[in-house]
Amino acid sequence: MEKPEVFPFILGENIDLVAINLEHVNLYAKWINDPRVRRYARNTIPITVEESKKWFEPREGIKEFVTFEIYHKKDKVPIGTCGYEHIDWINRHANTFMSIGEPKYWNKNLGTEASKLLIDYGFGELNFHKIYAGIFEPNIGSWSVAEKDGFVLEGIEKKTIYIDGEYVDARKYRYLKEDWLKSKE
Amino acid sequence: MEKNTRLTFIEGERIELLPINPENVKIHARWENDPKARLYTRNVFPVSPEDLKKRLEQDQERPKRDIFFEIYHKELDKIVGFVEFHNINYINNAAYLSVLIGEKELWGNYLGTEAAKLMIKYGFEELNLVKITASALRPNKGACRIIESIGMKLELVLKNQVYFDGVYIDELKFCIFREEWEQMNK
Repeated sequence: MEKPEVFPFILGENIDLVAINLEHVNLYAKWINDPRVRRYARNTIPITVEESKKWFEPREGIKEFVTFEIYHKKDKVPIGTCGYEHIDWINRHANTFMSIGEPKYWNKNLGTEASKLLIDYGFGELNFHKIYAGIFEPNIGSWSVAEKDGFVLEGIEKKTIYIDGEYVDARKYRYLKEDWLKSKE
Repeated sequence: MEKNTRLTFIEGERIELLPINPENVKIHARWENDPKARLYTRNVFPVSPEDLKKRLEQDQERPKRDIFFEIYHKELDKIVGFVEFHNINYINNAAYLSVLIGEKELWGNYLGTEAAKLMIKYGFEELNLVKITASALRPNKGACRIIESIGMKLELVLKNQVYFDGVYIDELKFCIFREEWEQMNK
């Protein structure tokens, strides 16, 4: 891949959050279909490049989701996506999601860093009142990142998702704006 | 409403569940806009009959993600509310249940309870669901009581989830599993 021209939107230490680039749609589709990546994202149906493209194409109206590419500064490559979906502008809450699509960048605290940047963006710029995340019980890596980032366990949805032949629990996490303000003091 | 033209899909004691009739969109629009009826459903945008018609037309996918019924009151011979499964997930076999009795003078008669019970039976016995979830806002004590009376248990409290009369309030989520329901109905 040619080194893309990058216009960072949010600056981090090891990563930047940059706008989605439709020239990378093959890469996004690869991540979405990758068995290791899709396991806990529960993408149980294959997604074509065309479908991914449609998903990322600009839409009219107020955004119900905001997606970023996670860009590795030192290696100068996109390594995943993250953002907000199901944005409810009246109740001012949204679901946050995060996926490091390149497994060789797992366990390097890059998800933690991206998540921190997203939280500051959500409360500081989008004026959210609450940010939440649902993470399946066996996905220990992801929920320990959420806890490290200051998310509070709100409750457990019992036997709610079918993984490897059985129904497993989902852990629901929340981050309230008041907690974010306290963390900044 | 003549008996032979009514599309009875599920028969209850006092009520029947019928597929939605596009000729009734004006009645549904009246309920959706009614300040008292929409208080706890948080319909914060006005809804026209045309909006509802459009929504009906879009709902053609199979298997259906949402299943919507009109609640028909046999003695009064008119529709009095609606009940639906939404966001049906056919892989996890789960769905959300919601009920509204739109005719306010009928509140307190447990018609919503009867409709919800019919839906739970339909969900478990016909749609092969394993989990049904319902939610209510904390101040809506009536709804919480009804949900618990049909055997659903509190599963999750979403703190400050919904903006209501100028403050953020909690949303309570209740659920019932098929095995529990089968035990109850043995």
